[in-house]
Amino acid sequence: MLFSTYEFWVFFAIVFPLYFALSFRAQNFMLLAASYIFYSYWGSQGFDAAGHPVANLHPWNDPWRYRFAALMFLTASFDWYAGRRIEGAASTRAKKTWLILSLGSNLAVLGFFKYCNFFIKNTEALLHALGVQAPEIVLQVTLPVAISFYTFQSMAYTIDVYRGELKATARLSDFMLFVAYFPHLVAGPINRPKSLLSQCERPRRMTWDGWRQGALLILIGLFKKVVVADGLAPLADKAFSAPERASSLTLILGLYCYSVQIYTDFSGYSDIARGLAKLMGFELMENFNQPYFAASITEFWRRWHISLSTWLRDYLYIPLGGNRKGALRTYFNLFLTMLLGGLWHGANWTYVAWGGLHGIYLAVHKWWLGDAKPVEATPETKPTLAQRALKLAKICATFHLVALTWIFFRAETFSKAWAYLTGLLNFRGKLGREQGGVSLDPEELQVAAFAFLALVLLVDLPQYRSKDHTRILSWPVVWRGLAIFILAVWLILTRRTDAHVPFIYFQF
Amino acid sequence: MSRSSIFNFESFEGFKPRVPWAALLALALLGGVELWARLMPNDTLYPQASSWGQLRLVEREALAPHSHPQVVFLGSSRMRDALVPRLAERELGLSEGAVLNLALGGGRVYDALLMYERNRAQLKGAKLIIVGVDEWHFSLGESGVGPLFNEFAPLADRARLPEPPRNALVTDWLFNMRLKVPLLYQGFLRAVRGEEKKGVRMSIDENGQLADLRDAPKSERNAEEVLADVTRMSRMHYANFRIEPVLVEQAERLAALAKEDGARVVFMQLPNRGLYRDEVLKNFAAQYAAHLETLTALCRRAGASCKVFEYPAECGLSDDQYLDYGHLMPSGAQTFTHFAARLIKAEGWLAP
Repeated sequence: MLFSTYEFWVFFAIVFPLYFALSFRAQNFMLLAASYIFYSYWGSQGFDAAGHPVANLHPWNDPWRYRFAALMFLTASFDWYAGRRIEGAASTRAKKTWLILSLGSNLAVLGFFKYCNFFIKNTEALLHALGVQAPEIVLQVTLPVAISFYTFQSMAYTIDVYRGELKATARLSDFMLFVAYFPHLVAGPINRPKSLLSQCERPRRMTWDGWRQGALLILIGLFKKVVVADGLAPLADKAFSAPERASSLTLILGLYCYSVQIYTDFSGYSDIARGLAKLMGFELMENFNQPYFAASITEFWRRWHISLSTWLRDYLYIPLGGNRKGALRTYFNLFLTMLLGGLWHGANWTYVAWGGLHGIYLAVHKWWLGDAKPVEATPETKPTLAQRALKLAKICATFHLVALTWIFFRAETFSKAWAYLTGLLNFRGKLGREQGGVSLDPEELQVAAFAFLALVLLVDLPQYRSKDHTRILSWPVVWRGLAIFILAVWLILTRRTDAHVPFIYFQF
Repeated sequence: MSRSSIFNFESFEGFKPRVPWAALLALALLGGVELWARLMPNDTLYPQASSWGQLRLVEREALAPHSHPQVVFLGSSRMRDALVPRLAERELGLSEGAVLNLALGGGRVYDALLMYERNRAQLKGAKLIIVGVDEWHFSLGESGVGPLFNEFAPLADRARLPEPPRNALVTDWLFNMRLKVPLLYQGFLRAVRGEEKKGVRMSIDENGQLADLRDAPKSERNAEEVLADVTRMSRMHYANFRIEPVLVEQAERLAALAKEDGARVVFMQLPNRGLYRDEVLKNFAAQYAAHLETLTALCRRAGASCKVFEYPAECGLSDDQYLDYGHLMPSGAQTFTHFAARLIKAEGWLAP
C-alpha cells in the first residue's frame, strides 16, 4: 500500500474520520489495528536479503504478511516488557541484563533477516580464499519491510529507559502504536520515544493549522515522489544499467538524476508521513532540511535523513566516546558510525563503502576545521557578494562530493560502481546504437528537469530561506492558491506507465 | 445529545476552522481546467492518427453513408486488413453498404464494444456481427487496455483491473484533463513541425476498407526480418499474460447487445502467419491454451458462435500473403474475404 496509490487513500479515508470521532483511548486501539492492517498489506512484496524484489503475490494470498506482522508484534512486546523490567530492576546489573536482552533480540532479528545471507556469502568467500572448500548455503529469507526502522526505534526506547531519560510506558498498546504507527512505519522518520511515545500516551488535539500544514506537506510529498522522483527513476536506472556503454555526459546527467531522485523520493515519503501525522494531531520529526543546500559535508548530515543521523549520533557515536577521547578517536568514531550507518542501509559492501566514504569525509572535515564550528551560523549582517559566491561554491562542491558518493549507494556491485566512476571521468563520447550505446531520452530529461525546477522554486528555495517547511502557507492568498494549483495540476497530469514505483527506502 | 465514551470527538475541542481561500482558489482553477477538458470536443483535440481519429473516420466514411448494414466486422487491425467489404458484398450477393468493416488499428474488445454502443441505432438492423478476437485481447500484456478504454471505459471496469494500470486508469476517469492537456501540447508540437500539412495518412478506400498508410511496407521483408518480427511480437503479446475477467466480460456485453438487437454474433480468431503460430505453440502453449479455453467459454456463455483459425491454410491462405506476423497484404485480404463469404453462406449465418 504505497502512499501514491488509491488503496492507501481509501484506507486513510476510512481511518481518518473514524479516528477523529473516537475518544483518545479508542483512537489508539483503532490506529494500532489500522497500522497492523497497513503493515500486513506488504507481505513479501518487499525485497529479499540481497535487496532484490521478490515474488509479486497478491497481498491477501501471501503468508508472509501475517508472519511479518507477528514478528513486529513479538519484538515490540518484548521491548515493552524489557523496558518495564529495566525500570523496575533493583540493580544496575539487572538493568544491563534486560537492556542487553532487548538490544540483542532486536539485533538478532535484524541480523538474521537482513544480514544472514550476506554473512554466509562472505564467510564462504573468505574460506574459499583460504583454500577451504565450503558447501554453498543460501537461506531463503524474505526481508520484512520496515525492519530496520522499527527495530531502531524500539532500541532507542530501551536505551532511553536504561539511561533514565524516559519513563517506561505502562501500556503495551501505547508502545505498540509508537512502533507501528502507520505513517512513519515503513520508511521513517525514525522517531524518538521521548517525542512520539509521549504523543501516544496523551490525547491529541486537532488544530486548523495542523490540518493546513498536513495537507500541504502531503501535496508537496506526493509532488516530490510522483512527479519528480518517479520521472527521474527511468533516467537514473538507464544510466546505471550499463555505465560501460554510456558517454561521460550521459553518466553525469544520470548521476544528477539519481541524486535528485533519491532526495525527492525519500524526503517526499517523509513529507507525506509528517503530513498524515499532522492531520491526526501527531508531530513527527523533520527528516530532511534541504540537504543539497549544505555548504559542507557536516552540514549535509545535519540536513539529510536527520532521524537516522541523530539516532546514530545519540546511540552509537556518543557511546563510542564521541569527541571526548581525543582527535584520533573522534575521527575513528565518526568513521565507524558512518560505516555502520552504511551497513544499516543494506547487506552489501557497496553500502559499507558509501558509509565509509562519508565517514572519511566527516573525519577530514573535522580535522580541517580544528576547533572551529562545523556549521557556520547565519550572519547577522547581509553577506557580501564575495561571501555569497564562496558559499555557492561550497554548496556546489558539497553537492558534487555527495553525488559522486551516491554511485556506491546505487550501483549493485563494485565493478559497476567503478565502471561508472571511470566512465564519468574519462570524457568518453557517445557510443553508437550498434555498439549498444546507452543514452537518456532528451524529452524525458526535459520534463523531469522542469518538474525539478518547479520544486526548487516553489518548495525548496522558500523553505531554505525561511527555515519553514510550510512557507507557502504564509504567502498572500492568490500566490498560495496558484502554488497549490501548480503542484496539484502537475501531480494530476503526470502519467507513468509503470505506476508502481516503490519508494527507494522501502527496501531498507 | 450526550457523548458516548468511545465516540466523543474530543480531539476537536478548540478546533476553529477558517475559510480556506487559497485551497478554494486552487480547486476553482483545477475545476476550470477539468471543465475545459470535458467540454472540449474530442474531434478538435485528437489527431487523425489516433484511436479516436480512426474511430471517427470509420464512423464518418465507412458507416454513416450506409444506413442498413447486414454484416458487420469488428476487431483489430488484423480484421481491418483482412476483410474487403465491397468484395464480400459481391460474394454474398448483397447490395453496396450491406457489409461493413469497422475494425480499428490497435483495436481491442473494448473498442469494438464502444463502436457498437456509439452506433447502436444504425447497427440495430444487422443480421450478423463478426468480432475479430486476437489471442492477446483478454490479457493486458505490454500494450495495456488501449487509448479508447482509457478515455471512455466505465469506472467499474477500470477499478476491477489489477494495479498497474488500475490507478492510472481510475485517475484518467476522475480527471479527464490528464488525457486532454497533453494533446494540446502534442498538437502544438505537430503544428510547429508542420506535420498536419503533410496530408491525411488514413482513409477509407473505394472497397470500404480502412487504409492506414503508416502500415504500408517500405520494402519486402526478408526471412530474417520476418523471424525477428514473429519472435518480438509473440513475446510482446504474451508478456505478463493473464486473462482479465473484465476484458472477457466486455466481449460478453457486446454479444449481449448485438443479440438483443436481433443479430447473430460470431467471435472469430483470424489465422496468423504459420511461423508465428509455431513460435507461440513452442514458447507459450499454456497461455495460448488458456486463451482458447476463455474464448470457448465466452462463446458458450454469450450464445455466440466461435471460429478459431490458427494456421493460414485453414482459410486458404499462405505465409507469403502476410505483411508481418499477422496482418494480411491485399492479396491475402482477397483470399480471406472469399473464404469468409463462403463460410457465412455455408454456416447459414444470414439465414433468418
